[in-house]
Amino acid sequence: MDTQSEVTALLHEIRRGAEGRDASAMERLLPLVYDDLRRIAHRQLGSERDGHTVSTTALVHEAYLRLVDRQAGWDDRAQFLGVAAQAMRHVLVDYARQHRAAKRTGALDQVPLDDALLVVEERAESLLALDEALTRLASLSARQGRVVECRFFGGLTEDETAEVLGVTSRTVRRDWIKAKGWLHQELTGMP
Amino acid sequence: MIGRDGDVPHATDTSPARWLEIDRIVDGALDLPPDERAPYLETTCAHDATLRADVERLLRSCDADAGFLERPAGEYAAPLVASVTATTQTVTGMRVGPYRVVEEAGRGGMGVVYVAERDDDQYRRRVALKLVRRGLDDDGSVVRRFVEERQILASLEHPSIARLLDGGMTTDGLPYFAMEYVEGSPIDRYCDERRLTVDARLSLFINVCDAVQYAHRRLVVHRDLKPSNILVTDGGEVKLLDFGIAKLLEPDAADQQAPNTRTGLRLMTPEYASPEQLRGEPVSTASDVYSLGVLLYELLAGRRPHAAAGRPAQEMARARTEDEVTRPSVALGRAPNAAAAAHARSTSPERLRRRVGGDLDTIVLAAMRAEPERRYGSAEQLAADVRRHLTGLPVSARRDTWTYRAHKFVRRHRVGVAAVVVIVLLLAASTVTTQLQSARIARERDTAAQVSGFLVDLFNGADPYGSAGREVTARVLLDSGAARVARDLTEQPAIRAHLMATMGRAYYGLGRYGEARRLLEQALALRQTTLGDADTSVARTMHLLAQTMLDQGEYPGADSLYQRVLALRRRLLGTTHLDVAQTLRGLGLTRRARGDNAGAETLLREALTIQQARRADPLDIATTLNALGHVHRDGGRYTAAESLYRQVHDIRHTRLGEHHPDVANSLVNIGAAIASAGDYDRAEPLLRRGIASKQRSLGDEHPDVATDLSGLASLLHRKGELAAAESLYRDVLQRQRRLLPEAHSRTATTLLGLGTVLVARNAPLEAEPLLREALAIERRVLPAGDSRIAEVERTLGQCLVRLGRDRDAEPLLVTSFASLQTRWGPNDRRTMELRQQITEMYERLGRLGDAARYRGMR
Repeated sequence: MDTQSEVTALLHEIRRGAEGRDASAMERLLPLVYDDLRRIAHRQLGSERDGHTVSTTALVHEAYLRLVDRQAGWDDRAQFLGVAAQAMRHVLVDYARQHRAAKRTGALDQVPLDDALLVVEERAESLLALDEALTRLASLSARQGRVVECRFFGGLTEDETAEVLGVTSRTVRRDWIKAKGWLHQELTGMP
Repeated sequence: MIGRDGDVPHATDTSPARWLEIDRIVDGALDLPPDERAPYLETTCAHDATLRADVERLLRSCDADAGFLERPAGEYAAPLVASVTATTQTVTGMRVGPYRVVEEAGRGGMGVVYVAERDDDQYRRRVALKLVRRGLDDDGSVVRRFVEERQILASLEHPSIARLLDGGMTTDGLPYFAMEYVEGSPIDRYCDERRLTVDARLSLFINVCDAVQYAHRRLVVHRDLKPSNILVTDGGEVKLLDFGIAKLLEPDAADQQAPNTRTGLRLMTPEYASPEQLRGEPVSTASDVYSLGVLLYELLAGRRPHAAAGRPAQEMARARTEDEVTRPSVALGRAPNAAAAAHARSTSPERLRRRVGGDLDTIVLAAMRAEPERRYGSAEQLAADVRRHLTGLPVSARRDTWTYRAHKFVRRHRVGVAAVVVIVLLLAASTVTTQLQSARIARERDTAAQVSGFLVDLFNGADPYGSAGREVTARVLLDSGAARVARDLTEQPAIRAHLMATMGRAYYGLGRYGEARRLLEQALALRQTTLGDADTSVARTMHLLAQTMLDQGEYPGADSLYQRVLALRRRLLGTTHLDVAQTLRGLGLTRRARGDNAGAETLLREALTIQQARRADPLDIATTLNALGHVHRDGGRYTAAESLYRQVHDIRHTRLGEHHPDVANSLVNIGAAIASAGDYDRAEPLLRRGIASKQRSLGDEHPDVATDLSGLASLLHRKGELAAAESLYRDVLQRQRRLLPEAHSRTATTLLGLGTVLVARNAPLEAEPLLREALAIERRVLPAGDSRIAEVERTLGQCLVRLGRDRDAEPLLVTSFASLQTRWGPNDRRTMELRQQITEMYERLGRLGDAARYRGMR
């Protein structure tokens, strides 16, 4: 089975597993999407300069076009975007972990700290902190956690996020405000 | 974007059930306009103060940072992805332009260096290929500049400079450079591995200087000199890499105007960079001399003079300008690895320290001076001094003089005005010293000696290094100066007056208005005795005295004194002199303080016109714009005020850096304007940021900090956070009682604020004495009929009404109504509310005729 059909089949399986969410299909789908996103990220984000990057939104949609059958329905698309947003989170957080690991093993020792590296440093640490905080948020409100994944990591619009989560756009907007507030408080210790 | 403040404990330890509750209440609050939230929370969280606190915190946080998480994750993470990608890439066999990569040779701040061969080269000559890791301008400007400068760089033909052969752009759009391939070790490692003696190190260092000097003569600056760019071959030959590369990659000169926006692109190594380079200012050969100084330091002491990076560039630049560099010999004494350093130099720790102390310390520090013009004039001069030292001749560099160190000492204390003043003091001393050179009169020489002696004693006594690390503040320095000037120099009234005036000014800068005034009055009296009235220095002292009086809250006195100075300066200097503008501004500020807004505006505009016509210092213009901002704000034109304050902020930020108290002041002002317009949530973070910054720069015990905190308390009050407002007001009041003279207008403002909060919190009994004190002060310092007196009267009246003392309240409410109605207009909400209160009061008193009169008023 080629990747496209496999992904589409998995999406269907997840949906048939209904609200309980088929864990095994999900477990198989996530790595597929992850690999693809990581490849695109590597190519797109890795070579361009800060501030002129291709957005995660574009990455996620590009992955959709490549990974999902043309025949797939609207529901599949929403399903996929949700998974992709989650995968995007893993991809970026893994980059941050890799950076930290490289630092620990001394692979970066030869590189003098310059302004650019400080930026990298700061972003890696911020992403890791955000990731942890987001996990805590999800334990309080799973939906708000998903909203942050979709909006921030997946770059999905309010409406797309609503589609993914099966709630109204207004709920997404509210959750987004509250989740950001909570995370901001969590990350800075200051309201 | 995503922020994180170190090890902050988690703000909330919440269970999902609790979260659900908080979430629901927050939802409800978000539906309401901000001013209806407080009552809503009052009812929903009535039973649970913790719940309310959690909800309020979350709500504040929801409103706090509009930009948070709004930037797409991919964009945010791009530099990280790029960095990790670059680290993990395998490139052997990769083609770059006409070259094929053989292996990776190393990594630098700029990018990765590969050993490569020219693909079409039958001789397989090896080159070092530098691939710029960072994405730079992709519009081809790097390549264009490379082509432009290539001739110059290619013309650098020196045995100690690695040749630049070629350069271009990879297919991925990354710039690359091909350089002569050099096999060798970085100079620091080379020296240590071979256990080179100090003399041998110095010889190598001289070779480095010679190569740098050669390039400097061709007007090429290296900009990134550091050991990893200075290789030594096995044969002991020095080779400098990357000459001129940093500049090629630097953004266009035009972008240097806005260094802060492009810091990510600045190519340098912070540990070796000069302060001007860190600030993003234009770089010259003097910057290379600085880096050479750092290099020599490291070669001698085995460690770098500046702590590793990790701080913002501006911060490092400031430290490099203000802090004294530890002498290399002292660093050797302190280093935990002193033994290792001595071993690597084939000597004992004790001998090494003695060897480095003296001349070499002096040479290193002279190369590393913060001000470019005070360093060695060239790499050649630096090398010449090292040569002189090696041959046992006296070196040309001098230890920093006490005057220089005093400058640095004062600058470190960041009390803007005080610093300026002490520099003036020192300039005074040096002027006299200059006179000494041409002096024919013995008395002049005595005077000079006395002044310098005075200052030397002063600074020696206060030198934190001379007195075993005891931290001496500018305050202590001034106090001892003031004590001495009272005793000494009685025979030289002119010099004494000068010192008193300058010290008065320094006290003013520290906010010690009492001491400032005493010294200024003495100085003025002395000057008037010796010089009469018609003298610019008399005018200057008078101006400063008026300014001090204004800050002390003595408005009538300040007003008439300013008028005298204005007349005097106009007569002495003409009507469009910048000093006249300065006094116009002072007078304008005084008029504003006295409630004469229109008069203030006229004066300030006149000042501004002079300053703009005369192209005054932008910072000075900013001060006037700032005053105009105040006038707009007082007049209720908040948007205009905000935009002026923002202009002021930008000017100051550009000129003074982020941490200057004036910049903090601007933040507070912007916040205050926004708060006046009613947008409290946007205002609060600005106020808090400004205040925190001032506490750092001015110290917590500064009257300005108290004033700003009072403003914050008022904001909290208006936001409905009464308890917080009350406790902050109390804190401010204590500060002001400590720091301001009795009966100061600012204290009155705080008393009024606290009184108002207490009335609102239903504690009128407590409020009454405070409001009475406020009223007494305002009646004393403000002209009769000023509306600020009426505001206190109104609040006191309302307080008395609450206490059931209508009869006592009556005269207060009635007088205040007359004045406030004019100020606010008859249809203002506050006017109508007051009218209603008066009506009800008369009804309770049974004076129905009066009640009807107020009710009928329209």
